[in-house]
Amino acid sequence: MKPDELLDFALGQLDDPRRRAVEEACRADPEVAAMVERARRAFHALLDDGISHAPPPGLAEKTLALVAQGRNPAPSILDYAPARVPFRWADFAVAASIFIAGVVTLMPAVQRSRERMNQAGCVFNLSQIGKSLGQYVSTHQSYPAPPNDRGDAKSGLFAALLQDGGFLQDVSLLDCPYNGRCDMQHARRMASFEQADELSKRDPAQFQKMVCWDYGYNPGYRHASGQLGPISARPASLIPVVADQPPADRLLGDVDRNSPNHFGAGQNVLYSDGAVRWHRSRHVGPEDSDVYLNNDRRIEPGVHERDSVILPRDHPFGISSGR
Amino acid sequence: MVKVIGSDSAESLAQKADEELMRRYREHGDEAVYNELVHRYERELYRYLARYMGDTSMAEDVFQNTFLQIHLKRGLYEDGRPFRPWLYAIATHQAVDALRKAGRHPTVSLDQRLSPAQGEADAGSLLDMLVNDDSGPLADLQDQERRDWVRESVERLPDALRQTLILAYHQDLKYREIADILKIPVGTVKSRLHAALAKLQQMAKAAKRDGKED
Repeated sequence: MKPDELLDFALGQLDDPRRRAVEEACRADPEVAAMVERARRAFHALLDDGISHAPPPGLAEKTLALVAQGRNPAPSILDYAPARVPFRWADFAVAASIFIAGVVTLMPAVQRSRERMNQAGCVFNLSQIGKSLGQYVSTHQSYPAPPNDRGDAKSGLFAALLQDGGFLQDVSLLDCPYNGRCDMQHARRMASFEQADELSKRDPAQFQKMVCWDYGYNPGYRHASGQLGPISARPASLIPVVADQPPADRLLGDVDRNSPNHFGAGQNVLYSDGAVRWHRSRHVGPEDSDVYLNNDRRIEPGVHERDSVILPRDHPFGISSGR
Repeated sequence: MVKVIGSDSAESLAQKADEELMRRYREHGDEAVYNELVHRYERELYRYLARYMGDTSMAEDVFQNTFLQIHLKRGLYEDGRPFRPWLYAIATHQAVDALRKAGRHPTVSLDQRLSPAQGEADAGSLLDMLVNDDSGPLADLQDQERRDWVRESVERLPDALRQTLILAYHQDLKYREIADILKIPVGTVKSRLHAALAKLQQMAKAAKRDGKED
């Protein structure tokens, strides 16, 4: 008889045929029977802890009640909500009203934020142009002006002069982000002052496309000698040099018309000290009531040093005493 | 005469096998059938849980949760599968979860294997060890002292051994049923049981030695 089987027999783990075989062996051999009995006593001694756990009264009933609760759950507030809500125009109207109210409330704030951003972009452009002009003045001891015999060149080509000198690397600075109307693809085709000036005479329409930028330039004023010349390299007072472009020619006579760049709200003006200032009107100083016309109410260079005029880009410099 | 399903009396339900009752509960959700199963296993399952968990109030909760799971998962019961191991397996998992939540982690998880030295106690030497010590290492102790010693010693066994011991000795389950509950081979059940007995015998001898030295 294997010890394994005797152990299993003592533990009550043998199935019927094997159990009967061990029982038979025990009957036949008292020594085996004694061994099995001792093993049982040993198990009892090692394993019987004398504890008999009885279930608490009503355990089955409590369990059944718990499951019955699961079968019939307590009504929830969601049970009273209709499973499918029918479509109603009133609901749609309420939702639409809320949406519109939100849009109406938020739109001005968004719009203001965008305007401030564009305004800041315009100021940045003019500041950069101011730095380019400063470098130009340091090098040439004069603000950009056409060569002696080219007073009829368009004043907008001050940018070409800056570019020729290597002071203006990126013509996209000439685009005021506020109005977003300028297509700088054409402006980037500008090779030089000579080429642009030649194009203005040969193909004005193409030239207009090329110089589509948004800023006008102050070409200079009538000097004490009677000659028209550019702004002096170190002017005695603050002189507007570049500004948002003037209104269209037909509106230019109306002093209440501001630059179209900011939809008539005003204009940014770059001064000779490099600062950019915002003006709500064309009045820029005690001796300069209109930054877009000279004191004779003409679209021409100023009549004296403090009479600054920002010309439209397709108007000629009108001066010839530059470099 | 036409017999209506689910209208058996309590007496006739008491005659039915667990598997038949569970099959009927799965198919018809008959409350009387479920009541019969709960009452049938009330004492046995509670005894197992109380002994395994060592806490009667936790055992009560786990008992209720076990039968709640039986109700909720009745659709998973497969025809021909023995009911008792299925019930014990659910109860054991619920008990392990409850012990973990209470911060009393079982020392060995259900499917953890023991080291060969620990698991494969030789049946011959174990039988010799149990049988040849005439008086037994615990013979000198009073009955109450011996029972206290048994309680403490079983408590100190690794969880896998203790679980197997409780199922085999206290719950009278067969090796095959235990293997089904713990999802381990029958051979592993035997070796765990033998290892548990050998360990207890060693602890008893050590206790006797310590007693004499004192």
